[in-house]
Amino acid sequence: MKTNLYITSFGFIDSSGFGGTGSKGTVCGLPERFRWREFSERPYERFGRLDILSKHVLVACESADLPLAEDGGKNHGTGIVLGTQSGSLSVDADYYRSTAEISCGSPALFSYTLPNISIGEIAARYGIAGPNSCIMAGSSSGTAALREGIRIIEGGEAESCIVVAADAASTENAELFGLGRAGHAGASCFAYAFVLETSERADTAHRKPRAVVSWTGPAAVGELDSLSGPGDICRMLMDGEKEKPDSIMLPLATSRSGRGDVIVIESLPERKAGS
Amino acid sequence: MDQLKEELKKLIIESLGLEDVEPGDIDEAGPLFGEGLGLDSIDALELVVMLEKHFGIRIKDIEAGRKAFSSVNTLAAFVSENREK
Repeated sequence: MKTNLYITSFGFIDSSGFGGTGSKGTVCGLPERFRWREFSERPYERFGRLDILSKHVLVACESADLPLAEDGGKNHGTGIVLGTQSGSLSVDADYYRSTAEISCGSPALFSYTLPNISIGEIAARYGIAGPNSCIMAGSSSGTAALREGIRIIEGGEAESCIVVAADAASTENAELFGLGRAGHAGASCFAYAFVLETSERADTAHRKPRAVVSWTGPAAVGELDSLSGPGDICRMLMDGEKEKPDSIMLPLATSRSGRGDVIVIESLPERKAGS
Repeated sequence: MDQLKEELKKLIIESLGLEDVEPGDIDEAGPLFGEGLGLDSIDALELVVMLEKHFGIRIKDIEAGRKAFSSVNTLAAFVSENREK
């Protein structure tokens, strides 16, 4: 089944700053050096305790202006997918080092030694209780997460899905994974968050569609701009950006034939929900 | 003792990553868990580690630990009594 899907909100933080549906600005340094209150008026007591990957993920989600959980209410109609290349490896290394200092490792670090903890932090803050996945697929992790978000909605498991592509690698891990190299779609620490929704849900909620999302079957990936990634979607959707494309094609992992599925994101700058 | 309480408050803030909390904000007689600072079970474990790392104190008796972590006042008394000389 093919479903008409929209991106109705987005947020990001990377080496260029942060921005999205809910906010726009720059940060001096990475999230580990800034305090939540300097970024958002909505309180978040847990932020200082998060690991560096979760901090990036939550800043991106907050920039997407996601509604907060209300009175413990749970949103079962929304899923969460995180795509990450280096995952929790930096925290894993920090935890290992902490075991050399004390008889046991740091309990606070231990709780973040799995990358899908970031999904739990999203679920807790925004009251999300739908299906969730953490995908690690090398340099295609972000695009694969987007594809999984589409699959979750098309499969009827949820009406909307928060998709996040994120990495927060230490310098040595960034080198190990090739993150931050020239030509790579993003630096070593970044998070890009998108809310995918069915057109019906977006219209009902009177949310402005920012882009329409579709995917093709196997296409000649070699003919595409293979450097496009989730960060390019944010740049396309950001208001005020100059010389931005109207659409972006994201190739998924290819077969030996050089052909693979392609996700197509088309910008809808003027369209209103329900129009 | 007052100096120790100030040191403990700074260590609690630092080791638990409490944002927007200053040492002066912590009620020395108030509960650390639940109400009060709103700490949770992971925070309790982190405080156990903090005591070992900074004061060389290992908590072996759960009940003693429970009493020690009641407030900054009880924690300071516990540290003062058990710290390495």
